[in-house]
Amino acid sequence: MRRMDATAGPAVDVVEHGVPAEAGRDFEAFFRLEHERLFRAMWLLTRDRQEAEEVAQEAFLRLWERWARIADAPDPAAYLYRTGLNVWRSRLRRMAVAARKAIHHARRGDEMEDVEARDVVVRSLASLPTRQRAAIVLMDVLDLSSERAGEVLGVRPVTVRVLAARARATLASEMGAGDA
Amino acid sequence: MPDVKTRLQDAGRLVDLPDRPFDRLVERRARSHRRGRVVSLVVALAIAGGAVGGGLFLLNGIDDDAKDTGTGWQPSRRLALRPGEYFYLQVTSDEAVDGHIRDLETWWAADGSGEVRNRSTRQDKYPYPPSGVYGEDAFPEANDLSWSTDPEGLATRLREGTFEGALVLLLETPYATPELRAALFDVASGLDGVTVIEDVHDPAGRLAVALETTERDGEDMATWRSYFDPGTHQVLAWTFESTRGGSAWILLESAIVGAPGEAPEPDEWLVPPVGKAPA
Repeated sequence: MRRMDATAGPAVDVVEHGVPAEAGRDFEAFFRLEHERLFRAMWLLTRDRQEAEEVAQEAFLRLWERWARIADAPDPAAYLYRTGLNVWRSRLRRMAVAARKAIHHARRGDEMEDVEARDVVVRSLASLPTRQRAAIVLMDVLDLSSERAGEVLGVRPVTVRVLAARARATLASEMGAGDA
Repeated sequence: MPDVKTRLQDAGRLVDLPDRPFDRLVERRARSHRRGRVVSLVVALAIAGGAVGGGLFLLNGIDDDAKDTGTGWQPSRRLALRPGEYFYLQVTSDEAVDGHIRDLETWWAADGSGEVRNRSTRQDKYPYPPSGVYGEDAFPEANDLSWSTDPEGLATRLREGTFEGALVLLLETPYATPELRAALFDVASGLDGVTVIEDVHDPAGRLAVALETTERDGEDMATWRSYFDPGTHQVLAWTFESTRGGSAWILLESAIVGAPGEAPEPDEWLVPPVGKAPA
């Protein structure tokens, strides 16, 4: 598999599970490879740049603390995405964060506002149920297979496909109406 | 018309990436380790009913001129706030990775009133506490945390170990009283892995007793040092240095004054004021 580095554009050779062989034991290299993808995915989920940064940082920190063990696991990237989603869901449940987000939304003029104003798909993403949102971001933004997305979400691949399909249908419908 | 997947991927690329994210992660990790140590020690202390218990006990309105914080140590001046008095704290720092420079003055009274003058940069990112004059029970929570100023509530939070920053933030928090700060110094100085260094000077040149901890940061070593006034055990400064490169400092000045917004008189200082910022 060959994938473009999302930051600078040069292609990097990756093994099957998305971790470059030379970075297998090097956390910093793993961070530099995966940070942008995770951050952008979390931004779409959280709809808040600062919150996305917090979630991504916390997810990487948790991995770093266990890196000696995780580096040898078959799919560290999947572990990272799962951790990121857990952090996101955990923060969603915290009232303190909800209050903070409200403050951010009240004062922000961040990129999401512009994106939402222009793009009905992104706007509609926010209205999807949490699991559907996670499924479509994993499959369509992070480009994971349903097997890997299922591992990340802790559900069967078919369940992820169903969740993502429902999300896509909703978004496509909104897209049709919004772009009409 | 692009499909859903393409449009989502395109939208995801519209956000700017954070600055130096790996550097921030390194800092976050160092803070996390520091917190872990502090929470462990404070929990142990709370269970043992030692110095923090003594400090918290002092919060219950006992305002003798000098009080033993539970370890036999006697402060060189009164640390308790009397009704109508305000705890004055000024916090300044050098530039953090994200360009945040602290410049914060606060006056806090036990009735929850006070004043904040927040001149820090990056208030877009760190808006707490906002500048203003606050009436009774209206003083803003620092660091976006709902810490109790009630001794029992605070002790509960310490035992739970769920709050961020524990000792570090507590010492920088405008409503952590001078007695509590002194008590927490007593706790921290007895910790495993903490080295007590007498007769040193903080980055502003003030005589101090320092508590130092060193931790591994990947292949590098990170050293945290906190400086306290020998007479009052109030925190004077924090410094951080890493063999990876990079250092930081935070300076604190504290006093007990008679009114919000009032500059401390010479005899009101709990620590020597900073003559000039470190080079």
